[in-house]
Amino acid sequence: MSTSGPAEIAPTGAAKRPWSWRAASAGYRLLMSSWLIVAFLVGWEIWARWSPSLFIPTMGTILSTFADVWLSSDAERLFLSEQFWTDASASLTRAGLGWLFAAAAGIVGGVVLGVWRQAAWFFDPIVRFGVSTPSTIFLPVAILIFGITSAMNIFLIAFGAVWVILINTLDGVRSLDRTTVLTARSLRLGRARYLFRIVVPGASPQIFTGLRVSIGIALILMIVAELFAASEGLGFFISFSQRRFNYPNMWAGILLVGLIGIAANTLFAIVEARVLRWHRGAFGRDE
Amino acid sequence: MDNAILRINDLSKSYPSRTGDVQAIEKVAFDVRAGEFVALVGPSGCGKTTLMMCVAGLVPLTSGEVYLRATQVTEPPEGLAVVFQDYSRSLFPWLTVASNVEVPLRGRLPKDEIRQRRRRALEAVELAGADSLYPWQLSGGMQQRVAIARGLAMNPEVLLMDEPFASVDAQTRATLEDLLLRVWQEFGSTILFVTHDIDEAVYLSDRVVVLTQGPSTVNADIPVGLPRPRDQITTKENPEFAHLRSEVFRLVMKSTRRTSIVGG
Repeated sequence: MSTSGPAEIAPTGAAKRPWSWRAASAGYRLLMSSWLIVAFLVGWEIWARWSPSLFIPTMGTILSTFADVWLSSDAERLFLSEQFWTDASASLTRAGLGWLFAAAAGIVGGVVLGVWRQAAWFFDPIVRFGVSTPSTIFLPVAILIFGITSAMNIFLIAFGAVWVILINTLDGVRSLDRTTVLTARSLRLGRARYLFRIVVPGASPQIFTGLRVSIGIALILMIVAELFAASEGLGFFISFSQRRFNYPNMWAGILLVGLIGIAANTLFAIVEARVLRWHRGAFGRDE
Repeated sequence: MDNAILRINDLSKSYPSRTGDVQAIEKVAFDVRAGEFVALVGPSGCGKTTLMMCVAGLVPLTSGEVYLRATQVTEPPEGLAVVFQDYSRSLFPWLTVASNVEVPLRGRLPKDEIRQRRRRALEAVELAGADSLYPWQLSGGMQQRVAIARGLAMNPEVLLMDEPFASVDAQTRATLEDLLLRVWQEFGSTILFVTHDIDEAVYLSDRVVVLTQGPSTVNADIPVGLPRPRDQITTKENPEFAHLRSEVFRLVMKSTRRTSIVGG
């Protein structure tokens, strides 16, 4: 509480359960969510040891390859290898830039189309086309325009990821509560203030949904573009290793991509939880 | 009347429907004078809220005029603040209490004045310590008090209230009524208060305007001469209160029986 007031005003909140109860339920949850992955790893290991195929190395091999390829003992390089800084950072830069362009264009476009009906009619066919066409189709076109460059990768990622952000933003803006909109009008807010203080925050839960889905799309397109048309990057590394029959390297690459996906989604979830705290408070369930 | 601050002149509103236009409001006319507390009652579904939206400039009229002082209302005018029934939607949950109160003032007034007005308004509704909280951290009654504070901070010439206490429990409601009366006197506001609760209308107001059921029109305009300051117990024990209450009740019930084509 910032100012001292005569009234005692405290936030209303749900009563906390005892910690022992919460710890037990958290343990149960951990068990429930981890048994399948454990079973999978055990199955993998049995299969790898029993089968003579080189295609499926043991977990030990994959992990030690992973360490050899991606990690180093160099603290200045954040304990990551030269290879990581060549391939992974190339990939992540592409995916990150592409995603940022998509986010900017998708949010701006979605808000504009959401508040401006004529523009929405005008752009409707294009939006439908973009949403329903698999973005990988544009890989040949992107190569024609940009050649085999990072710009091509970034373009493809941005182009593929923008639609889901755009339609979610658009939908979020359109489904703003009527009373909320009427209130904003009755307060005679200026145009900019109305957009940035009411429309964008009001639509932000939906905007975040679009952004979250688009992370997955960006990662897919990053890999696809690199599998076919790149001279460095994780996708390139994986397909290169596969063509050289270096399966442990291939699996180490796949594992890294998986980890990057998990890290990106976790990071995003943390940001989302922070930004949308009000939404959970106002409409959400207590957990 | 020359000291009318809000003048509603033969206001009509109809909606298009498949079977032709449905007349929701027909030639409603009344004035609100400066400093007056006017209650608007009518049977449920008689178009009170629609009327309110028209007066607030949020919904276009079919015919007639609304004047705030000398200016005709065609869009939300300066000098008019609205308190909606659904506080959970009319307060912005992503803004703190302080920001909710300040947002209509920002960009219009100097920062110091905004802070002063916010502080005074929140003090008036007894929420001086709630600045940094979010609306959803407060109880329903407190949230509606924030909405009232936002209206007050705008220094409106007329405060429109659309069934503001309809969504809170009975005890909170009585507290809010008394708080509203105190604030009304402290700020010298002019209030047009829509309600379906006849007791509330008589208890709060200087005049009760009774609407008939759809198409709604003014059925009666009853002055309330009960002494002020009013009190939940003594005022309601007053025989005059009981008399007024029955009179309004009779008018409302009579018009309810005239069932209309709306719906069906």
